[in-house]
Amino acid sequence: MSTIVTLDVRAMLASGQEPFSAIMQAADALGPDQTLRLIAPFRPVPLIGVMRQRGFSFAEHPLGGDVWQVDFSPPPGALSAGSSLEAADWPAPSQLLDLTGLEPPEPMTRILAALEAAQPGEVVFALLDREPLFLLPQLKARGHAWVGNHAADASGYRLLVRRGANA
Amino acid sequence: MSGEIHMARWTPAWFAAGLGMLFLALALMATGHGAPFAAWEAGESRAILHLLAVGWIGTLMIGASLQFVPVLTAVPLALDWLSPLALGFWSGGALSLALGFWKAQPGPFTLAAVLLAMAAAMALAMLAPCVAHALARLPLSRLLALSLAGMAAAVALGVAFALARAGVVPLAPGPALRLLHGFLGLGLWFTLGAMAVSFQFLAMFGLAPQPSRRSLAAPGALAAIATLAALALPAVGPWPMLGAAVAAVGQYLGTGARMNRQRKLKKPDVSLRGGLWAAVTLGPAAMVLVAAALAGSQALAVAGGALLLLGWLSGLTLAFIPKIIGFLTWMEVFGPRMGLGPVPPTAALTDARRIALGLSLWAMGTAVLAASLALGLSVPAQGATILLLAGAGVIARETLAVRRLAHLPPDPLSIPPRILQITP
Repeated sequence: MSTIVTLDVRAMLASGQEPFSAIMQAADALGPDQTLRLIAPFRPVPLIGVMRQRGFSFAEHPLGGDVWQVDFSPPPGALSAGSSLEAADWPAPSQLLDLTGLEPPEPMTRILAALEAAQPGEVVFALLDREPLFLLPQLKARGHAWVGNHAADASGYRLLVRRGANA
Repeated sequence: MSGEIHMARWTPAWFAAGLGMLFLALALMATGHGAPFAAWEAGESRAILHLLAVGWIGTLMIGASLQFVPVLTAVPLALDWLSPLALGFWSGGALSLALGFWKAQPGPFTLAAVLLAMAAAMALAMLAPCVAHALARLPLSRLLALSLAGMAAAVALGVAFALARAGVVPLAPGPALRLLHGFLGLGLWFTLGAMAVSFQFLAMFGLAPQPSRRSLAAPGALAAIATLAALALPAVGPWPMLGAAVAAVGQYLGTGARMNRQRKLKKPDVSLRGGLWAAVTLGPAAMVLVAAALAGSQALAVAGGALLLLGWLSGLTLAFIPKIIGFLTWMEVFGPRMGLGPVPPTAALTDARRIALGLSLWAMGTAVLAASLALGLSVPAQGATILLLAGAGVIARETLAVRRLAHLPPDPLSIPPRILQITP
């Protein structure tokens, strides 16, 4: 049974505050069976675009006046925060790495070695046992873009990394 | 799911402070202080107990939580700059508390109450947002939340006791209230927290499957029942609390055994083996505590407490200190070089044989001490504390060797990092 987390941003907007980060925080904290219900004093078209890019589905209802209610539901295996939103335009991966069954930090080392050997713009796909939390800042620091999510059946984590131009 | 996770900076300093207080407690025992040389109710016995619980395990729990709760929950730590301040307050508070018990003076008790309360508030301010943020999506975070609630309640009650000893508040804690304090600290905060973390270590370093939702919910629910029973101690007696706690331990060991059978890492390293042995100690600890309640024996209760504190909690902690410091040091020194050139394996930073020796000495010392406490024998107890000192000494020396990159061949590219601080 899905539970609903309601976030009414009308008061924040009325007091001149920007609600974007509060909405993102609430979205990040959602469980797989939860829905974020946003109440806004206008139809939040740009936000809907951002949330769709992050893989959320949505349903909207006008509540009368200018007020809108939008329900955002995370898809199974939503993208990790920090994922590049342009991954749909990336080329097919040039390397596929199955890094399951390796003790940390071996998966990290292999991904970074594969990226060093790749040409700028090339994409590496890796299958991991879990989200490589210490690797992700390393990727960013070296100028690579990445997109990753947990497999819907919780069997592991899937990571696409595109080698940065100046990395 | 929200933002980047970085290594916590002060983990080595937290571990060093905790080890320092462990050595102080063991040195006092080795020189003939505390139970069984003195009465269990004597100030010096209380001082040593609190040095071990608050100063050693408490410091290690907070230090390790600041490093791993963000990793477990995938939520960055809030207010991480508070960490060194909290460390100073917490260790100062623990030492002050021990001094208060030892000298039976109000001043150190008051100081301890203030310092420990402030340090616990800082630790909660850093950790609670991480856990709260992950509550809906991560079943493990419910165990962490219960453990943090245990910390808050154990410290709050302890602060009230300390202020009572200082004569600031009119409170005369009876046996039920003191047992509640012990349950909240050793049971809910330390043991439940260590259960949650050990599942994650087994999954992360042993490549075992993550525990199922149901197997995580069960120890949490049983711990919650045990807490309610502990709150109702004066009305219902110790059995409901003990029953729920023993059921939680049985459930934990069953889940751990299942995960261990399914682990993909065929040859577990010395830390994982040490951690598994420490977890197994929970079984005899629970049995001795049940026997103590059946027989109404204080000596058995103290022996069971020693198995819990030294066998399970300290055993797990000592097994993982070199592993955690090794991993963090490797990330700190070789992380930036990953993929760019050859880097040594993480295992090369540690000497597994020496760690195994340290853990074996510790295990022997724990077994001999628990037996001596049960039988009220002073001479073997003193010998046991020397074994414990030797075991902890080997682990501390090995951990220092990890920070100094002492087991690696000299390499101009690898400069040993600062001993007490990680540079993320």
